[in-house]
Amino acid sequence: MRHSKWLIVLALALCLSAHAHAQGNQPYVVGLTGDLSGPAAGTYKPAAEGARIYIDSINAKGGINGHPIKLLTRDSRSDPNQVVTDQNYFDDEKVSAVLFTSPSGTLGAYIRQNLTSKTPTIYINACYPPATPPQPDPNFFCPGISTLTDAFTFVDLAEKMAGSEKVKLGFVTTDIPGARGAAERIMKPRAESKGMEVVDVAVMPVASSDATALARSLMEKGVNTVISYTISKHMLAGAEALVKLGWKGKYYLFTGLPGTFDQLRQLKSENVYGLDHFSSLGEGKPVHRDILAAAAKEKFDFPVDDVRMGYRSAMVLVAALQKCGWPCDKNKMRSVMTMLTVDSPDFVDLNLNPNIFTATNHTSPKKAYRVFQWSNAKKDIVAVDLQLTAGERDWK
Amino acid sequence: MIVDIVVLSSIYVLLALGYVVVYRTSRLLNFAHGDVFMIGGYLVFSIVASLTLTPLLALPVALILGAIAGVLIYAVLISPMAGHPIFATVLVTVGLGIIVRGVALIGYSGQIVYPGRVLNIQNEPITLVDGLVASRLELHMVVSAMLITLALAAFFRYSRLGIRMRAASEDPRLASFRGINIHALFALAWAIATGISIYTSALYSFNQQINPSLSDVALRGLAVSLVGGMDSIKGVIPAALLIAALEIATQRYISPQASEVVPFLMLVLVLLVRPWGLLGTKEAIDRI
Repeated sequence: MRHSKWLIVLALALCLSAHAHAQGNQPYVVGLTGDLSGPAAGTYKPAAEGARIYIDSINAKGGINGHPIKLLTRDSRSDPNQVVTDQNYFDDEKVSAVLFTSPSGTLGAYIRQNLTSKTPTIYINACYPPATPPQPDPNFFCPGISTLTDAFTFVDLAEKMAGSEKVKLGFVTTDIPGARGAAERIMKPRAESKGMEVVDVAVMPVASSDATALARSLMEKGVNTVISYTISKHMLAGAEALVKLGWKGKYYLFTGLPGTFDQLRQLKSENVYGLDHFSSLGEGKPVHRDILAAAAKEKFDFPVDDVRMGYRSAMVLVAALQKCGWPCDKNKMRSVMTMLTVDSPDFVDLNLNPNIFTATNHTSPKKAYRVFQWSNAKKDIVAVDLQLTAGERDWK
Repeated sequence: MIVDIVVLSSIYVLLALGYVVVYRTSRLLNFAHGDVFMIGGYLVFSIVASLTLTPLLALPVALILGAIAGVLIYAVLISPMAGHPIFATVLVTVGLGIIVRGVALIGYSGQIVYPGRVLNIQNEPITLVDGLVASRLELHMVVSAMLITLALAAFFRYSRLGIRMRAASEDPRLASFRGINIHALFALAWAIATGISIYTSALYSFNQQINPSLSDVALRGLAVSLVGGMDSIKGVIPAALLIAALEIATQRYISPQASEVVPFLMLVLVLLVRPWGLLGTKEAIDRI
C-alpha cells in the first residue's frame, strides 16, 4: 500500500515534469508576410531576411524565456488578396504577432483585415499612419520615425550642409501620392520658409528609370542642391544622371530602406549624401559583427547592409516577446507593445536611438540620423560628422 | 533639349532595329525583345565582373552573347513553330518574355545595379558646342545608332546574304525551292537583332542603371518601329527622332507623366492614318 502511494506520487511528478518540458519546447509563433518575390522583392526580401537571421540567432541561443520562436513566413507578392489570405492563415495558427514587410500599396488591405484579426503587427518599412501619432491603430507598430519627420529632416540637413551658401533647391520625386506630396506639400514649403530658393520639383513617372533629361533641366536652372525622397529607383536615377553630367552640387537621398545604401558605393560620388536611420555595418560594434557573421553564413544575393531594417524590427519583436513572458497571446502582446521601450546597447548601436512605443505613438518620439557619403580617399562609405535628431510629429 | 532628343532617339533607333530586323526577315513580331534587352544588361555585367574582363571587352562580349542567344532562341523556340499560325509563334515570344522577366527577378533579386561604375567604365561629361554637355557613353550611343543603321541598310541592300534574307521574307517557300536555307537566314536575323539588343542594353545600363523595369523602355522601341514601318530600316530614324522630340518637349513643357504616353499616342495616330508606317511597305500591313 505504501509502495503504491509512492508510485502514484512518482507517476504524478513524472507527468508534471513531462508537461513542463513540453511547455518549455513550445515555441512562440510569429508570422511574417512580405514581398519575398516579385518586382518589390529587391526592397522587402532583404528586410524579411534581416528579421529571420535575428530570430535564428535568438533560437540558437536557446530562445526567449526558455521557448524558441517559430517564424511562419508567407510571400505576399504585393498582392492585397494574398495579404488577406496570409492573415487568415496566421489567425488559424494563433500567432502572437506579425512582421509585415510590403509596399504601401498593400497596407490598406492589411489594415482592413487586421480590424478583424486584431494581431499586433510590426511594419518593416517607412512609417506612415496608422502607426503615427496622435491616434495610432492599437495593433499597428512601426519602429523608426514617420516619413513626415524624414521629409522635414531632409530640408534641415540641406540647410546645415549649405552653410552660408545660397541654396537653389530642386527635388527629384515620383508621381505617386506619398512621394510627390512629401516634396510639394512638406519639403518645398519648409525649404522656402528657411530662405531657400526652390527652383523645380522634377516628377518622374513610376515606370521611368531615365532621369537624364530631368537632370539636364535641373542643371540648366542652376540648381545646386537636390533632395530626393522617393522610391529607390528614382532617388538613384536622379543622382546618377546628375553625376554623369558633371554636376557639382549636393544630392541628398534616403539610404535607410533596403536597396539604396550599397548603391552609394557603386555611384562613387562625393556629391551624393545618404540620410539614414541606421549605423553602418562597417562601424564594428558587436551588433554589426553579429549581422556580418550571420550574413556570411547565408550568402545573400543582395548587399548585407540591406538587412538592417528587418534586423532592427525583429529586435523590437523579440524584446516584446521577452517582456510578454509565457504564454503570450496576441492580446497580452498588444498591451506589452503599447508601452514598450527597447534600449539595449546592441539596439541603440544599430538604430542610433532607443525605440519607445506609447499609447499615442507607435513609431518613436525621437530619431537620431546618420549621414553617409562616398569617400574617394577611403574608397568606401563614411559617416559625415554631423549630429542630426528629429522629434516625431503628429500626422495631419 | 537638343542633346536629350538626339540621345533618346539613338536609344530608340537601336531598340527599334531589333524589332525591324526580325520582322523584315521572318514577318514575326518579337514580344520578348524588351525582356531580353533587360536581362542582357544583367548578364553582360555578370560575365564581365566575374571573369574580371577589361571593360573594353564588355561591348564586344555583349554583341557575341546576344548573337548566340538569338540563334538559340530561334533554334529552340521559333523554328519548331514553322507551319503553325503566326499568332501562335507570337504567343511563344510573349511567353519567353515572361520567363525571362522571372529569371531576372530570381537571379538578380530585382537589385538596381550601376555596372558602369562598378566596372570603372569611363563616362565623363563632354562639353560640346554652345555649352551643351553629354556623357561619353551617350555619345557612344549616338555613334552606334548611326553606324549600325547604316551597316544594316547596306547589308540588306547590297550584300548577297541580305538580298537572300529579303527574298526569304517575301516568299519563304519560293526561296526555299531555289535552294536558300531559310532557317539559317532566319537564325541570322535573330542573331543580329538579339546582338543589337544586348549591345544596346550593355551601353544603356553602363550609362545609367540596370533594373527589372527596363523592358518597359524597350516597348517604346516597338512603338518606334511601328511608326517608322515594321519592315523599314530607314523608317526607324525619322520615327525615333519624331517620337523623341515630342517626348522631350512634352516632358519639359507639359509634364513628365504625359511624356510617357507620347510614343504610344504616336503609334495609334500613325496606325489610324498610315498603318504601314512612315516608310514601310504598304502591302506589308495586309499580312498582319
